[in-house]
Formats: sequence, structure tokens, C-alpha cells
Amino acid sequence: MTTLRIEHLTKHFGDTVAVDDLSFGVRPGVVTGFLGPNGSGKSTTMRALLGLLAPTHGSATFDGHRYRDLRDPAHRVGALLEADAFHPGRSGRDHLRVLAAAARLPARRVDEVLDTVGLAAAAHRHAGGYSLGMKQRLGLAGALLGDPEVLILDEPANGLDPQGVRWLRDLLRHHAGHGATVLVSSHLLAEMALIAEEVVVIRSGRLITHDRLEAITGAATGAQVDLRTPQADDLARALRRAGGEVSAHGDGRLVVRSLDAPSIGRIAREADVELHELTPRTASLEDAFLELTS
Amino acid sequence: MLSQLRGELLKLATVRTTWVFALGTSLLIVLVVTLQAATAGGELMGPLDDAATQSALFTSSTVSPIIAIVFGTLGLATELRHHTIVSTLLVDASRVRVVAAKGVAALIAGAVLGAVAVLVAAVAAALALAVTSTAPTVAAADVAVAGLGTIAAASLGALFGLGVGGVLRNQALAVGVVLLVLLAVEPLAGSLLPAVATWLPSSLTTIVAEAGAGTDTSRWAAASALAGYGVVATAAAAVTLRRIDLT
Repeated sequence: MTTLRIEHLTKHFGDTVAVDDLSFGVRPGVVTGFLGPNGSGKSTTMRALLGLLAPTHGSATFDGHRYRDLRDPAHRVGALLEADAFHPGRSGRDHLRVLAAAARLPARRVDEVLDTVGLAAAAHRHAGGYSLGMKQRLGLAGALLGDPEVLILDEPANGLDPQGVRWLRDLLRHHAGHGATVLVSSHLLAEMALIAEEVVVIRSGRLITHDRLEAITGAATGAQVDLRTPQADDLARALRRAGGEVSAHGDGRLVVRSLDAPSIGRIAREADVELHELTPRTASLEDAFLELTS
Repeated sequence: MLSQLRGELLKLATVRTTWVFALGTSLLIVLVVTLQAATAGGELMGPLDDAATQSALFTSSTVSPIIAIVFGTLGLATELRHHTIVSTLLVDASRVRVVAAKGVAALIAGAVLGAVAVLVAAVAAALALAVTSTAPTVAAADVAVAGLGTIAAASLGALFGLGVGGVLRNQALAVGVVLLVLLAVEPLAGSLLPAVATWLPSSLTTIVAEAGAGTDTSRWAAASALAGYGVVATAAAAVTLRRIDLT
């Protein structure tokens, strides 16, 4: 099992600061979502982690080792960074054969991953003629080739059809469930909410938050508790005294912010108020993301 | 390093460009042999029994090292153009080792291109003699030495091209610059500064391929200089690749 650590990572491109003193860790066994607006430094961070660009300051390591110091990195780390990083005149299968030969992997592994990503039927066609979804699948096949314990995927769901998105979700969960370390960036926040257990959010190259998905959505202002009671006025007064923001919606319905469901239940019991419904509603990841990055 | 080399050779074998270069070189050599045979001795369909004429036919492959230089420029520049250098470096993060593997692959590919050219020239020349019922008068040993020289020159030429492509990084620019130097700068230098022009890449490949015929420069000196160009250019490409960020 491998832990990724980004420590005080800083990257300047001329006068532009792409990543600014960024630190976070990615632990094995969970899918970690990596979110940020366009140009926030996600791809730069991933490329620094993979040794494709040199940090100005700081480090990005796998269990304390830089990528370039890993022995047989393709056997430990699989990465997808660009959907169209193929020679257009080379077939999908040959693209993978080249990688397998260089990584000392058996040729049968190529056919295995082509089957895994559902590209076997198109394996002999030139990659230049693939759709975006097929290119993504080929890139994922390349990432999976060495059966790695770490997956680093930049926007892997781009261009995938609904079946492909579900397949990707199952694949990432399966890998994480078997102890793999998975870092995945995506702009598809609804999809990310279904995949990720932890989320790292950055903006302008700086860390905004790193927490469990539920904690991030729960902390967002969109989080609320819906309740229904025949004594709405009494309960509303009690909740406001306890610091809650309460709005009444008629017919005994109240919407409460700033208090969680257990607290509301306790306050209702202490006020001797009967509850007919108590439903916590968290903010969506999209709500939380927009709030964090605005 | 061996696995990287296998990967690099597989890259070359799995794109059409490689086969287009081999086929194009072969067709060009057939054309050159045909034209030389048809205009031998300064007359149309003249006799081919002169040893010098036959030698010219059999050594028509000496154009192949120039083609190998252009072919070599594609080695790194194409990877950078299509961003396949990223997947290459994810498999082996040592950029120096990657360039070294590419260098060996270029030497092998150039040698194969030269060998194909030598073989095609030999077959075409032999056919020309057979069609005209001319007995061979050229010394087989001379043809063999010239053939080995051509293979060596093509091999070293491809290495030099690889380095130039890696330094310039832009595929179209690299091919353009190489063609400009080979087809315009060197001929101009040849007429203005012949002593200097002898040591330019195109002249060196010709000397190596043709065993130094017609010059004071020995084949070994020319081969050493060409190898030096190749090693320096490839080392410069390795330094360039080490310094750049792949964004």
C-alpha cells in the first residue's frame, strides 16, 4: 500500500504561480477526488507527482520516494493525464504493446487490459480514428497495464458514455477496495460525489480543504434539516434560542440550518414537542465546491 | 535499457512512416539506377561495361544516409508532437536513459534503412547489367566496402538526426532545418569554403559511404566526425529533455 504526499509543493511558470505551497496526502484504500476550477493547478500537481515537471519548491512523493526514483514505476503507478497522447497512426493495441515491451510486461497483459476497458474489438484500428471515449478507454488501459497499486487519473470520465462512467466508477471503487491509492480529478461533480470518499479542493494553486466528502458537503451552507411538527411555532422558538436559522414553510414544515439532526431531536424532546419528520439534507458536492472556490 | 530499446524499436515498426521511408528510399534508388544506366557514358542507353559506370550503379544507395538523417529527426520530435513522450517517461522516468535507448534504436533503424538501400541498389544494378547482357567488371570487394560504408553512414546519420530533432523539439521545424542545411547550406558552403564543407554532415556521409573517393579525408576520419556529430547532438537532446517541463 502506498501513500502519496504533496508537501509544500510550489511551481512557477515564469511570473505565474501555478501551485502555491500545496500540501496534502492521499491514503490507500479510498478514492480521493481532486477538485478545483480550471487553471487551479490540478494537472500541474499531478504532473509534478509523476516527475513530468520539476517543482520550484517542495516535493511530491510515493511513500517518500520521488517518481523518478521508483523501481519499475509502471508496475506501481498507473496514470492517465491526456486523452489523446497517442500516435494517431499507431493502433490501440500497438500503443499498449510498446508500453508493455518497455515495462517488461507480457504481451498477454495487453489483451487483458483491452478486454477490461472494452476496447478489444477496436484494438487494431488506428488510435487517431478513435472517439474521445475510446481514447479515454485506451488511456485507462495504459494506466492499468502494470496492475498498479496507485492510480492517478486526470479527468478520466471525459467523453465516456453512461455505461463507461458507471464502469469507471466500479473500477475505481474496486481498486480502492483492494487497497489501491486512487487520486482522480474531474469536473463532473455529481459523478465525483458517487466515486470519491475524500476530496481535496484547491484554488489558485492553494489548498482550500481536504476532508471526507460528507464533512465537506455537511459543512456547506446548503446543508439543512427538514422537519414537520404540529407545534411549529414552539419548536421554531426553541431552535432559534439554540442558534439555529429557522424558516417556516406552512403546514408545520420547518427548514433548519446551522443545527444538525441529533441536536434538533434533543431540543424537540426538551421542549416537549412532537416530531413527525426529521430529515437531514446535505448540500450537493457542487454546492460545496462552488461555495469553497467562489 | 534493453526493454526500453525493445519499446523504441516496436514504436518504429508500428507506424507507417517507417515503411514509407523504406519504400520511398527504395523507389528513389531504383529511379537513380535506372537513370544512370539509361544515360551511361553520356549517351542514351550507352554501354555499361566500364568499371566506373558499374560502380556508380552499385553505389547508388549512397543517397540513403541523407534520408536517414531526415528519418532520425522524427524520433524525438514526433514523440513531443503527439505527447507520447509522457507515456514513455511514465514507464521509464530517466530521461537520459530514454534518449540513450532512442539513440541506439536510431543507430539500428538507420543501419537497416542503409542495408535496404544497399540491397535494392545491388539488385537494381545487377538487373540493369542482366537486361543489357553486360558482364560485371566492377570489383565485388569494392562494392561490399561501399555498401558497408553506406550502412554505417546511414546509421550515424539517423543518430545525428535524432539529436537535432530532440534539440529543436518541433517536428516540422526539425525536418525543415535539416533539409535546409543538407540541400542549401552545405552546397553553398561547398562552393565558398570547400575545406570546411568537407566536415559538414552531408559531405561526411558521402565520404563514409563512398570510402573517401575523391577527397583527402579518410573514411575513418569522416566516420569519427559523423559519430561525433551524432553523439554531441544526442547528448544535447538529452540535456534539453531533462530541462523541459512536460505540461
